[in-house]
Amino acid sequence: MPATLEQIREHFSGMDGAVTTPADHAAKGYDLDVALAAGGVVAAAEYLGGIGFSLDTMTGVDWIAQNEMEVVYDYFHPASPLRIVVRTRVPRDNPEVPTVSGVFPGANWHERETHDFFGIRFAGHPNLTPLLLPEDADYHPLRKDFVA
Amino acid sequence: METPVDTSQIVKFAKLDELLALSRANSLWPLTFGLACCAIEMMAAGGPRFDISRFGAEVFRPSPRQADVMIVAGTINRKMAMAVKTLYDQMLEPKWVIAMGNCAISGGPFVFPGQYAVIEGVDKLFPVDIFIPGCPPRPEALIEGILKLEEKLTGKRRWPVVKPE
Repeated sequence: MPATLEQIREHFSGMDGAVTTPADHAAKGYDLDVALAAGGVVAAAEYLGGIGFSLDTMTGVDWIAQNEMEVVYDYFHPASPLRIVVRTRVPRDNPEVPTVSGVFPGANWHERETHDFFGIRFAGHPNLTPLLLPEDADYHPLRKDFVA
Repeated sequence: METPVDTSQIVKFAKLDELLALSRANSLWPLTFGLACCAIEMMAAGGPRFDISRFGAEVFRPSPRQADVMIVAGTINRKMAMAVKTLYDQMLEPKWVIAMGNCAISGGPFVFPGQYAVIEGVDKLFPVDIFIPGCPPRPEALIEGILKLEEKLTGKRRWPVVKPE
């Protein structure tokens, strides 16, 4: 039986550094927004994977004005209509997030793409080589200060 | 007494170059090189409605060693450029290149100041014989491009040009 939103919210509130914000599914497209420290993303992935959620997609955001980069994970449950977003922020000068490809192997290519375009390193990733950019690319095009 | 045979009815003479050009033009075997949306139009041209098989060109070869013409149908990204050049180098002479669609001609709709991903035209990699503009060009346009290539080879056009009304 899939966990209810309240149970999920309670679990995340227990994690240190987590800020949970419920959202209107019709307006935002997701039910819960969880902002965590970078060290907690693997535990979050394991918990959500354990109660039946799957990783839909993940992407990065460059908050250049705040000198931070954000990684956003979208989780969905196939049976219940719940969608949960997990976010984490890292410093822009040395962005590093632990990999979730051990929990969700499908995240392997998403992390490679996020690394290609933002330069965020995923610690523990088995193969962080360029996926979409040429093999010898040393630029990260989706950074806000990227100039071709 | 045998009736003398009129040899002009059974023996024809022509220049070898012209014969070779005619046979090459009527059996242009394309290399399957659909990269993006233009590939769909190329597939449609190979289907029964538009049918390039009547020009001898339906036999798409998966191997560059067996192909005469490389129809570059689609966008060439920087990551793909090396593969395209390798395939072109592996094709045997005589070989021709048709650049199909705006992306293959000059980068197409993906050219803007500061773009980092697209090679602006396949003629930046190797020489092109025929350019077919369009985004994507209709299958009839691809057929016209193949007819133009045949005209380039033989000097003669298979059918007269259709004048639009």
